Amino acid sequence: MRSPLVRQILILVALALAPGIGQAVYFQHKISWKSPIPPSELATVDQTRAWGENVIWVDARPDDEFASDHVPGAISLNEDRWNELLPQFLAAWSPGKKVVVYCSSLSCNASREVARRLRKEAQLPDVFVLEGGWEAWGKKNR
Amino acid sequence: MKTHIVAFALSIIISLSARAELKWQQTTIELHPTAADKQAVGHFKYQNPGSTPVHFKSVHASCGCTTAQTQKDEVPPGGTGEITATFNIGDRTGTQVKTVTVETDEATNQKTVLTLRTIIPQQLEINPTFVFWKQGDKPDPKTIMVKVSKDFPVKHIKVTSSSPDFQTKVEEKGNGEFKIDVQPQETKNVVASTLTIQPEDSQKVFYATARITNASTIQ
Amino acid sequence: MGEKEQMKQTPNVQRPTPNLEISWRGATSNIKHRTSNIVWRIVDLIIAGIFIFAALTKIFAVDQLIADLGHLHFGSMIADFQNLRLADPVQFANDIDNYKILPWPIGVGLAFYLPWLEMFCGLALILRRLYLGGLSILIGLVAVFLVATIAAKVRGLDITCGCFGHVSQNWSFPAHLATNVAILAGLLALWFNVRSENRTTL
Repeated sequence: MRSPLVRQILILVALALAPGIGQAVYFQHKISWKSPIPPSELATVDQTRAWGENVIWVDARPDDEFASDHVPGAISLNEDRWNELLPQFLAAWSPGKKVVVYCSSLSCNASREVARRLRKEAQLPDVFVLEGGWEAWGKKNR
Repeated sequence: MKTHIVAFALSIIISLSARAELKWQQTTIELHPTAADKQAVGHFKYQNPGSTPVHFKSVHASCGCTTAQTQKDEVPPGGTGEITATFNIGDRTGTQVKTVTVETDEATNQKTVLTLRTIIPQQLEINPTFVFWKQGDKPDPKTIMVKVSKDFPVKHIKVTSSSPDFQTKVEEKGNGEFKIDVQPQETKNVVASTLTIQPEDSQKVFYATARITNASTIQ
Repeated sequence: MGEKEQMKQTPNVQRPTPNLEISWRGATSNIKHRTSNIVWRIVDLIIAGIFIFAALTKIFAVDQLIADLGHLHFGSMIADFQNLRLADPVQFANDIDNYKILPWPIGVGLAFYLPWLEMFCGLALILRRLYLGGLSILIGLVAVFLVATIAAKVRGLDITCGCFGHVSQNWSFPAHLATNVAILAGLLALWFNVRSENRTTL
């Protein structure tokens, strides 16, 4: 009795492998296998320290949060006033600079959205999202 | 066998009773604002089918761009109402998904997540929105492609540069596509220009940026 | 000769045949048996349908299709079918990752694999091929999922998605729990029914 059951389970497990692997192959380049955000798009606070003066900090939070406190030298660039704020960011950017975008905590989507638009629309290289966001920066620097 | 059927039926009843809470007409609303709209508003209607009043403990949105308001703090038995979620579109593009979390004092379901999905119409797709030359580079023209959305047919676009240091030339490629060639006079100085792109017969304007930047700062 | 030998050798022996009584009882028992089979078959189909639906919501991007179905926008549904595409697996991978039990790479692998496993097990229930195997796998999956859901709640984790991917993202914790308990109860009822049938035939 046990043997047929195990055989049936193994057959089903094997059957599902084929389309699963096929789907994985199809999406292999579209998904990050190592971390939820592709590692090439994430930067830790320690990494940004190593980059030193080469970093442009971008604050993706709403205006009032930026006004209240922000990373020294950070430029405000949020989706509420994207068209108005983008030129001043671009004025500060030059080739070779590493752009690090942050917002409040990793679960906030604003920094990812701003980073995505800078990569896609402005086609800037070296655009990163700060791992842990504003809170992580605060822990390391306060 | 009878025991099995009874057990199964009981489990169905339990699952049904566990969902006896504030009844929402919809927990996901999709909005299609026009290009001119600054806000998108969703009305989440609810009803209290229970025998006890339900109180709202908190209503908060997932981001600062969305505000949510209840009409009342308490919903009497049999009462109805709605939560109004207002999403400020700003300069956002594409499909935006924002949530509003509603907390009540119901015994079974204290948290409900309401989802506002806003499809923002995009009249023009500009690619890229930023072109640059490093100081000392050859002042060759660079291309910005503009693609018009099928929902907003545009025959012509007008491009103006805020700085005389950059010249622009527009070429219609057909099929709703336009090619803008941007060329600086020279690349000795760090200068910038905002390129204003305006579709014919449209109030809305779009922007791109052209710039001469400092040379690479890689250390 | 023994009595049996005598009986074998004697032709045309009239044997007692209370056919009428046996056939009447047999007919009633037959009807009950058939009704019971139909009921269990319906349960099979409902449970299988749930898992196949769950699998489809994770393999394909069906949010818009389901929204239109809910609003009875049948015209829009045709367009939705035509525009149907594979779902972004990152969504389901994030849902698995929200439970903070498995490392991300394993979560991604499961995000690709589990929906197909659910699909094939659901089909096993409908087609009655590899039935017990399918049932066992589904019981295992739901049991593990239940434990993970309760553990996540105890740990205070915010899990917004459940068995139906993003279709169930607005469900509360009690609703998730109750649905999974009901599905598990149904699966176990099917399991015990099959086992008792097998014992009867043996």
